[in-house]
Amino acid sequence: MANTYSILAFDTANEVIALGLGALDPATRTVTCVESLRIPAHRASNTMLLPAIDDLLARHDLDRSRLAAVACGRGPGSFTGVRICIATAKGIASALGAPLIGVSTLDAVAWQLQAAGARGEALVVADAMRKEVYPVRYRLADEGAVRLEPDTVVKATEAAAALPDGDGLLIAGDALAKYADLFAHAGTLAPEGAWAPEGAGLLACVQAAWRAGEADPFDARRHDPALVLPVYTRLSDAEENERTRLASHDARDLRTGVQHAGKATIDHAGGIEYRPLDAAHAEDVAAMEQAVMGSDAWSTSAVLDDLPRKDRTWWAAFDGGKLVGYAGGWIVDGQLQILKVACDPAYRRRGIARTLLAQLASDARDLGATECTLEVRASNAGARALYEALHLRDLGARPHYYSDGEDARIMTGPLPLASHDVAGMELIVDQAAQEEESSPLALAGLARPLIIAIESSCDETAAALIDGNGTILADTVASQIDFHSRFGGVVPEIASRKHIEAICGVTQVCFETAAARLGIDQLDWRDVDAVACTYAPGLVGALVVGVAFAKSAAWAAGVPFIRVNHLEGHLYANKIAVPDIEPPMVVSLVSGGHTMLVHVRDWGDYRVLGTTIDDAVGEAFDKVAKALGLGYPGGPIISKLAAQGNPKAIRFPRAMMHSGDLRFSLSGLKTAVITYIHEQQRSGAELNLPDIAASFQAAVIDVQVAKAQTALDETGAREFCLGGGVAANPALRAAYLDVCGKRGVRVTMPPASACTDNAAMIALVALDRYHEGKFAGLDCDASAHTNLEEPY
Amino acid sequence: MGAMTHDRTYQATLATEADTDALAAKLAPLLEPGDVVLLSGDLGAGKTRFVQGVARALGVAGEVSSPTFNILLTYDDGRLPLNHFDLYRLDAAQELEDVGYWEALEGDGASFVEWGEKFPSEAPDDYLDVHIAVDPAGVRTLTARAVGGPRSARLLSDWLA
Repeated sequence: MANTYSILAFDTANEVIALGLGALDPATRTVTCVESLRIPAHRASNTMLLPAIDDLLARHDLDRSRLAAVACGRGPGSFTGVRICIATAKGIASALGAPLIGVSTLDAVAWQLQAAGARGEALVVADAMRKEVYPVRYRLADEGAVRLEPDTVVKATEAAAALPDGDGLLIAGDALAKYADLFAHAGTLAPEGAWAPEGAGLLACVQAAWRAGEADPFDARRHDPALVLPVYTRLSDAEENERTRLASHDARDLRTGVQHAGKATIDHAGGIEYRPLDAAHAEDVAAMEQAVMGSDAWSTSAVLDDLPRKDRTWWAAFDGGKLVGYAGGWIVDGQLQILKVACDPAYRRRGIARTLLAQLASDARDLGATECTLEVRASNAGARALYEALHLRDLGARPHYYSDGEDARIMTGPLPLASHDVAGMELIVDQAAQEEESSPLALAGLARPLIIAIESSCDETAAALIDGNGTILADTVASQIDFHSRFGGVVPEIASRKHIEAICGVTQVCFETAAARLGIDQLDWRDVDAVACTYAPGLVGALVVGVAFAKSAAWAAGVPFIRVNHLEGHLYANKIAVPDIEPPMVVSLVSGGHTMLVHVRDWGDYRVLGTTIDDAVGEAFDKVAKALGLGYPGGPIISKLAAQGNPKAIRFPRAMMHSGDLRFSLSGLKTAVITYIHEQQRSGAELNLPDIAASFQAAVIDVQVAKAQTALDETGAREFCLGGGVAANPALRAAYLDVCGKRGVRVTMPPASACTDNAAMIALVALDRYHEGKFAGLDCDASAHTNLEEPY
Repeated sequence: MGAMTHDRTYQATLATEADTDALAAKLAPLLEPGDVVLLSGDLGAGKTRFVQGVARALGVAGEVSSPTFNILLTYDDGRLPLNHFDLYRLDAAQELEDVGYWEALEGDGASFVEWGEKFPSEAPDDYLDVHIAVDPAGVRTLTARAVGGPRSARLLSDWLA
């Protein structure tokens, strides 16, 4: 196959791995199937997919760098399966610089039926879990499989009941494994071997899209891997619930929700906050409508009527508490129709309208939209210029569209996503690196190895580049915290969804930042000597995206893959503050998921002196903040409040203070605080939030500091270090400085930005692993928990 | 230790944490793949402690901590895989899919679910319902109930009858 163009196609949306290798003929736009496979992979696709791809290419003596394009299934199907598939595909395509074409998993099954000779009507019905299915009807003809309807998700019983009795319909899809009896009345069940996709079906989809002009396997610009996303047939349920809640006047929900948190979804420079529009501000919208929309202004009731609709998205901009702009959109047939964009005249020329449009576009993209249309007054030159700048083009006039008789211009174009859009999140570039004491970097002769590290264990999608001297060349974080703050905690579904949207953008920005720092035009996957990634511990659904992406990119770039324990990264984060720090030392790791004291005898040689037997410190902060209706994350909110309160006001328990060991227990303290809040509320007393926060925090700090002193006594270490998100707490830092100062123990604290999850610390670990030659296999998987003491 | 209060409900009084551990240790050897126990009780009632007791008796070596942050922690080194869920932070039943709830419950291990009562419509067909209540004196009462099919009824009677 040395002189042909090859395409690799795969899908893991179901319990199988569908895998295909094809040959591309640009002259006839033909994709010839070279090999097509289907491999059972019950819950193990992340460990099996990449080795299977490696085997396939080896069998055909094909070097991976000769792959011209990659295609992957976008679902619908198992959420985890689709994410593994797309993250793997993005990793391979990104590292190869190859186009990535997303195809429908269901279409692939339909094309297989067609290729096997079936003609007439067919139904492909995939399992959506929770007794729901994804049913799509097709017409199978000699020319191909024609999809008759878009993706939907419906109850299996309803989908089956909606079908008339008969035998003309050919039925396939993996939902039949559970629901064959339900659907049997409506037609003929395809043989079981034809229910799931395989490589040939995926390749047939690519050929069909190519011939229809919807895809071009030689156009890498058009098929940027960042653009391929899973098929979402609905918004994340948390997002959808929030919309419903914001659209209601439910006082209880508003109290505990975004209203009370006072935390902006996105807080851009200039102090403007952007949040989903809620019903409480409908009147403000109507007032501004009156002021700026003239005869076509919407009333309060019109806004209230539109807000809760599931196919709408509304965002608002605030300065302080004041509404200064808003936008609304309707997502229909793959199009975002902009209903409203308005900005207070006093706030124009600050990019508010553009940001609001980007928010609508981001939501619309989640719901499958690819294009945007709107009407604009013919006389509104400013707005037309903005839309042109967003690459919308003038389609023509809609005469007398406005009630005062003025014409509208219809404009259409791509979704106006924010530039460098990484799933609607802000990029924080180089925060940790800038706080590091930077040494002048020799631009000539980059110190090898150059390693890119990726971190996706929880809220943050992050990437960092490190050189052989241990210098962090770039450190990029796309934080989801603002996003999660709307929901009072990390919502797992959103965490993994946002990682898959952000990962290409974050790595790309990381390369660009490093290139700029090195004064060179470009840096990319071909320049790296290894790829590293956090593999444990954390949310598996989030970790899995980083692991699949990173190991696939490493494979495609032909360099080693390094897996890193997230907790070891936190230990190494102290090197960012003090590059020459050397063990032995005692490290206190305190975060949302962890509370432990670690004796670092040497790098790579750790003994866990004690951990929490129940909740983590950060988790206790989050739960107390939630009980007080204060929003997420709880740490900074409680610590800010505590600064104004009396730490001795309420005597909360100091659990395990005298247990004689180094274990912690936070569950009792959390229960005591919640019980106290309930008692106060029952007795009608007003809650003194600063006192509660200060007393709770003092109880936490007392135990942390006492146990740290015991650990220093036991180990004789002269160095004490902090790590984890809670290490950013100023009162905790001050307490450690105080007691360690008295004992003559040096305290090292990473800069606040390096306490929270970042990839720079992962890169630091990876550099040591590289020198030790410790590399992970293609079957590496994510893990929720792991033992820090075990070398890996 | 157990007193029968209803044909498929048992109660036990847990005066000390050692009582909790002992009762958990008695359940562990009876567990089979696919068994599901939904655990309810207020924050601090001792749900995690109970699962720790089960884990220890199954032969899990490492620390068993609260899965609130990770939602699901799985331990594979015991007699059979142990899935420990904490659904406290979840708000919508649909999020269960994303955390691998169904895959785990129908898999080859035994599953303990804290805060499972948040999603009554998502409960499996056959499971053990265990509620732990604490009185003001700190005395805990464990109430166990078999819900649905025959498996949970047999598990309950083998455990507490």
